[in-house]
Amino acid sequence: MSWIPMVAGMGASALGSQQAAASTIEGAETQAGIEALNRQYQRKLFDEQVAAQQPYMEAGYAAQPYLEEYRTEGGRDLSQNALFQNQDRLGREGLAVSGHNLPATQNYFSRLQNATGQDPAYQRLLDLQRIGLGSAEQAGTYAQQQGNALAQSYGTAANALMRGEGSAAAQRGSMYRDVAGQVGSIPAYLDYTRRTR
Amino acid sequence: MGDFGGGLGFLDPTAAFQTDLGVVGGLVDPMGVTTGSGMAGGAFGETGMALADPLDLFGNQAAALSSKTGNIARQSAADAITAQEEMRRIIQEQLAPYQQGAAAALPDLQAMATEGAVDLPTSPQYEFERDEGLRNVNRGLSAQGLVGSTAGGQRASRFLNALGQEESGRQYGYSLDPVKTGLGAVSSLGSTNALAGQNIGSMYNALGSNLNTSLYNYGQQRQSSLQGAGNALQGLGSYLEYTG
Repeated sequence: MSWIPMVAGMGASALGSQQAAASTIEGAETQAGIEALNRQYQRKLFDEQVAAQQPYMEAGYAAQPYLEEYRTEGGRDLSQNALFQNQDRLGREGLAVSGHNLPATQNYFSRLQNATGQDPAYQRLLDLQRIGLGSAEQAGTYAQQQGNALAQSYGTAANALMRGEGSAAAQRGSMYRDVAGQVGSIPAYLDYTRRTR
Repeated sequence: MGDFGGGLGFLDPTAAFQTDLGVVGGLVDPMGVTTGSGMAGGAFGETGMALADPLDLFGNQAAALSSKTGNIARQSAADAITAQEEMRRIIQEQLAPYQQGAAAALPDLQAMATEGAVDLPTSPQYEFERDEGLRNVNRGLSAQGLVGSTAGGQRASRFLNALGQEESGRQYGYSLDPVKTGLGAVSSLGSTNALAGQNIGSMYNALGSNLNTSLYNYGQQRQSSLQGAGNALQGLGSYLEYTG
């Protein structure tokens, strides 16, 4: 019956190696899980930043079709532009108040305003475009930084899992070698003790 | 928010690590990592530690130590992250007024550059210069006998057009400047967020590494305890064999 505790002892040793391997894996998976939380947080920051930049970028996009009109038509219809409308109103009020309200004068004023208003209107579109582009550049810089953080996190998680698997495999291997060695020594031990008894 | 070990929900916004192993958890998860209790003894709690981990009899106190070190790591990370987030929130609040100013001005700016209707107040400067300027124009026209003529109207038109463009530039600037300031504030916010992200990323890295090490050490200690038990049993077997 002496073999019972001997076998139990071998079992206990093997169980110890197995539990060590399991803890190693669990540790690696825990670290990988923490890195997943890290990446979620980094993504949250990025989404917040893009949301803050978005209105400026959209303003820049809004300027594009009007700038295109300058390129293809040499100018644009200013009649729907807020500043042009206001300027037109102020000018006509001034002409009326000062007694210069002839139809010919009104017509001249319209042509004058439209002709001299094109360049300032073009510059304002460029301002809007630069605001949008500046915002996009800021978002791009931030994206690069966050991308770096994400890449590092993925790498850390992968390293942890790979090292964990490797360590666990080594621990299991050690367990199997240990058990095999102990089992292999039993016959010789039993023979020795019986001969010497 | 999840409950990733020890109730530190901040660390686990998606509850990815919350499981429901119940009573069984105490036996298979003496550290309470996967049961989410974060305590030695898992679901059994501190008082049931002996049931969960009889190998503590060998003196390693592996489960208690692992639980303690794990909780220290988690609490430290949670405190650090909370502090960093608080600082980030303060900076956001300080920059918010500039962003709000820009948000109010941006639609008007867009309408003034592209299309749309905006209620634009007239400046005192425009009104003064208009009144004085038109008086001077009319005085000149009167001296030349051109009052009420087309030429006189054209001269007044050129004056009013130039003055109107000055006023338009002024009105445009009143919206452009807060938008530029707001864009600068957003850029500052980006710098703050980038640094906070780096700092908190480091905290997560350290926490993951510490918990990994804690679990590895726990496994080594369990192995050591079981090895001790194994040696004792083998010794007993040898004795029984020898004594017959």
